[in-house]
Amino acid sequence: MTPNSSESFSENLTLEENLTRVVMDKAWAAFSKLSSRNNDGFIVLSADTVVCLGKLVLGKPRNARDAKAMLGRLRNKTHCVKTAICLLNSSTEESVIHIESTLVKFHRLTDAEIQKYIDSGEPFDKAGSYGIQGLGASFIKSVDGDFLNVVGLPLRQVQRLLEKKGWNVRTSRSNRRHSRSHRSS
Amino acid sequence: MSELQDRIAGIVDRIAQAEKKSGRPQGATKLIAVSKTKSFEHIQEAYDLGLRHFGENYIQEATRKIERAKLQNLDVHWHLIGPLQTNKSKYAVGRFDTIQSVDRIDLAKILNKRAAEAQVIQKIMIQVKLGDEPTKSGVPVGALDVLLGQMQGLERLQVVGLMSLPPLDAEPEASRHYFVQLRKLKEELLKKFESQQMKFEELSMGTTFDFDIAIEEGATMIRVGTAIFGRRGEAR
Repeated sequence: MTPNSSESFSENLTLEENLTRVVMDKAWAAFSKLSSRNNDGFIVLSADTVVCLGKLVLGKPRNARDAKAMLGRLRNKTHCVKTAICLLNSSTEESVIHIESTLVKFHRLTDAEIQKYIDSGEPFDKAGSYGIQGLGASFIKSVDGDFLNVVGLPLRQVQRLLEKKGWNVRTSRSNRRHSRSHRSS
Repeated sequence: MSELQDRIAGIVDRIAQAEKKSGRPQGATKLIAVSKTKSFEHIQEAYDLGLRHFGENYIQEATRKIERAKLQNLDVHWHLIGPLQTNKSKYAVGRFDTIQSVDRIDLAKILNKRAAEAQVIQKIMIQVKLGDEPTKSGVPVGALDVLLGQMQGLERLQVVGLMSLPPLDAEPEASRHYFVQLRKLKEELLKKFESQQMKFEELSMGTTFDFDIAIEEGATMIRVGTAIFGRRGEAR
């Protein structure tokens, strides 16, 4: 089991610093790629999600054993899902960062339930080894905070930040560029 | 008067009062505007109002701004105040006037190597960890001597001083003993290590919330974000 979620997380930084750094890196990488072939202004949205259980930070599982260990730790407990988002405006190159936290309480799960879930293949691309928007929904006892944050993107916060900045986003595809990872680490 | 002009005037006034109160010469303190996540236009505006020192946290973002400032022949001193990963050190060396966040030997060594390749002398500061900070950045006080000892012979680096970001308290006065501690550390280190390579002239300490007190205790650089640009940046 990986004690630290992301391969790019530095042990010299706190979790919040790591998350902030990762979304800034992603946003600027996307900006460099997109700015060369876009004359119109655009906004980059990057996101990164981790699952925290006490001091443990869980990213994506590397294999079935990893997933089993993670779910075993999460059952019958409350953990915190943290998603960092970064919005970068290509016109001004100004950015804004936010970290949203949601508390999630798991039911008691039997080993058989965990095994069945792992066999479904769902855990493998997800931080904390579960997807609340999928079969993992049945593990959830309660959610305190933004449900969409647990899915991987706190949309309400995205909207709030856009409004706060006064950045108008039209919803046509040509004006929207998303660079984000889905419950990745 | 613009809002920004108002805010900067207010800070300049606070700086002058703190310098006066502690009997330090006027102009002894450099005001570093923390401009991370702000647009180049924000920087330009602050520059036009007289600010010359800017502090950045993220390499890619800072690089863009530094290049633009260069193109426009702005006389900006750039300070890297956020943690630096060794794999990004080559982008920092030669671009930043001062890298304030050096806190470990592997980073110092690689900066020295990059500075040699770029044929520059890189000014750096040692970031010191005071108290139980939420951050992991900074060398613990007890490990300072060892670090500076190991840094002897890194000829491309010039250690100009110490930087710290003590834990924030609701009461600004609570920061004072940290600032005193950093000033005393600087004096001790001067006695032990002073050389061409290690000068320890600068003390970078104090932010929006407590910079008056930092100045009273000897800060030569203060790092101010919120009070200049407002709370528009990092929404926590």
